[in-house]
Amino acid sequence: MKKILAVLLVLGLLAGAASVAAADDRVTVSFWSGSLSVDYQKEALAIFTQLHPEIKVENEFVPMGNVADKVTLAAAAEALPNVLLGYAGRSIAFYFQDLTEPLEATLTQEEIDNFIPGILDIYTVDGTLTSYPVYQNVIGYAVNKTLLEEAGCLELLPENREITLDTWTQIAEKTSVLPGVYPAHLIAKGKGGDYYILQYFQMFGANQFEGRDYTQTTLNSDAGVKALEWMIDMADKGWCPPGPAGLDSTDYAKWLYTGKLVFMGCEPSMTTNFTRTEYFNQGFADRIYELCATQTPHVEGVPIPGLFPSPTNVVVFKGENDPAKKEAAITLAKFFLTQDFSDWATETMQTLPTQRDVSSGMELEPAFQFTLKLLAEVGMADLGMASPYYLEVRLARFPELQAAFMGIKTPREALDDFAKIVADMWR
Amino acid sequence: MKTNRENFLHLVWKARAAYFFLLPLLFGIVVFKLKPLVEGVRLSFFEANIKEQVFVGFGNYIKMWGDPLFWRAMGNTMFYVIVMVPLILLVPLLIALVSTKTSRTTQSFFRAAFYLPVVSAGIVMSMVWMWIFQSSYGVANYFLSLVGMDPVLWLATSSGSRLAVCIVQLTWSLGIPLILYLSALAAIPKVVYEAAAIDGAGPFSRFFKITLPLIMPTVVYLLIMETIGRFQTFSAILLMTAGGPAYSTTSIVHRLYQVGFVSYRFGEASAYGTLLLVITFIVAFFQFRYLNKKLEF
Repeated sequence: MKKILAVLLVLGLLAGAASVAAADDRVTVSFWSGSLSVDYQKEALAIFTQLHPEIKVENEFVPMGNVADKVTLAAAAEALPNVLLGYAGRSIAFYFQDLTEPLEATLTQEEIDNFIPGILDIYTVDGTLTSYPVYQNVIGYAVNKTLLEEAGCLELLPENREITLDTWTQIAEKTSVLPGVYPAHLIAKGKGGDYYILQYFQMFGANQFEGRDYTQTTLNSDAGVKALEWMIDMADKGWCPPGPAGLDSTDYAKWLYTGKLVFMGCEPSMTTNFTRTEYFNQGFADRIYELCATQTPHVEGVPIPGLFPSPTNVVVFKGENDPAKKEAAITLAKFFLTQDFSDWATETMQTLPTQRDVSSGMELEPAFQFTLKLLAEVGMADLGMASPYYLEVRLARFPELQAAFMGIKTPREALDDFAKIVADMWR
Repeated sequence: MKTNRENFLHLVWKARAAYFFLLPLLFGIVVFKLKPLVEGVRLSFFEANIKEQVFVGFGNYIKMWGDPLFWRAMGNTMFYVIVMVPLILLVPLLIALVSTKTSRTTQSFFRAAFYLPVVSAGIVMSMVWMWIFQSSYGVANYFLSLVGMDPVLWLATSSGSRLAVCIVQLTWSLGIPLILYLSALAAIPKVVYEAAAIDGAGPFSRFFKITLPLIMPTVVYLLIMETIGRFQTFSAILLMTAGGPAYSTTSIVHRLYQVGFVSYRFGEASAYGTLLLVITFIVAFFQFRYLNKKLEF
């Protein structure tokens, strides 16, 4: 009797499993994201599932800081997901490890033309499109108008918001007398936020790379050395929080949200949020300040600096042999370029679109209006993301800057040493 | 007459039930410890990224040897070992000695208070300490200001950041030694102290002639484990200083992480790991060999 029952039980289970398998004949693709929160992932994928009921997405949230380690381990174990949505700098590093599918052939000419001019170039290496740029933040510049009013120097802010170094210095001098207020910030601990320092180099006309040549840095040019000397001088004057070599973006956020900074590198979403009453009510700001997006300051005669991109891209990993699955993976990846997703994403996450026909949802906000206009005028600055050593260059730059801030090396020595490290990477 | 091998096999067979129950653990050790270790050593002779491996012999070791950052990391690691190991051995011993004189409730408080950081998440602890050491609004500088001292740029100077890393590591590392010392002290029979007191032994001679020799196995165990642990100093550095400023806090394991997981040079990273394995093995071997002779069980 027991044997008969056991056989029936097994048969029942097999029948159940078979019926489940038969009912779910959708193609399954795996998706990881470190850029969307768990709730946002669910919301985004709900939109996708409505549009593509034939594709089942197995999604996993990967904390942003763990993406690299997790992908590396997954690659070693040959267990990569099909699609990853994440920070573009990292995505390109995966391309250089031969982990990602080339995507240029998956776009029609119409789709290519729809991208904001030049944006695909940033993610194209030797003619290969490494990822789709989905949405982006851009690092612009902002000034706290409330503090300018308090210091009685609001009239120094030009109407067109083009700030030369002279204007910047005058405002800094006036506002530095406000208690607990710093005219600027300088963070060089080495945990991201490096574009804030690169902005200071831009002010003097020094760029990390010129003409997409990543084999050598031009940060050690005379303009670059001048910029670093100026930064050290600014720190010595007490115009920025003390000890830049030990400060990171967490410290920066603390000063920003408590209204202690006059000038700051800033994303338009931060500028917008900062001036919103509800942000104050949420306890982020100690009172309501009016932040105003400006051009990145520059020395007279130096062109107005371009804006740094902080993009989120989608990659399709190699290793999928099933053509149906591969196609489904591309479909999922391309979903992040559709109007349905981009409209939702740019508004929900207060970002800028990467395509012409996608509205931002934030375009009525003054900071976004200004940034979009500025972007059209000055374009994107090249962070060097298409370099195979992009992450290593970032990593090598901080210690040299720290050495300069600590007085261990002169600005010239620090930047020359950095240039040597970059050159050595290519040997 | 049975050979040694036959004797060994006979013993194993006799205790087969015990070995059977040990199998899951042995399986775990082989799969998760031994195999990665062997694989790591093998990989150190290859130039390897995620997809490719090319045999380069001792190329990775030669490259590592010629890298100034390796020597910087090695110097810092030795600093952590030399400074931290004595502190981690002495501070909990002092706390244990003091707390044994107190009531049971106080002892429980000490155990809980010092063990809490051990069970807390490293990232949380690091975040808290980063706030404590923040130069402008941190609690550490606030306390210094109360006694009229100037603020210290804890994480922005070489000496300050090294000191901060040591302090944080110390707070993380006190719990287990404290628990072990308290157990070891509790195991010493009171009659031994009573006899010594009758013979006129003072507190110092009681400590050096009775307490220390009887807790020596615990001290040796902690010495070996903490030495190995300090050679592996990593998380506090990764989370608090990122190896800086200007490489002043970077350690061998931190460098290994950067080479492996930022630059994807797995062969070179494995060379770092293998060298660390050899160094810790040699140090632990000599520590155990030398000190084991002096132990009284």
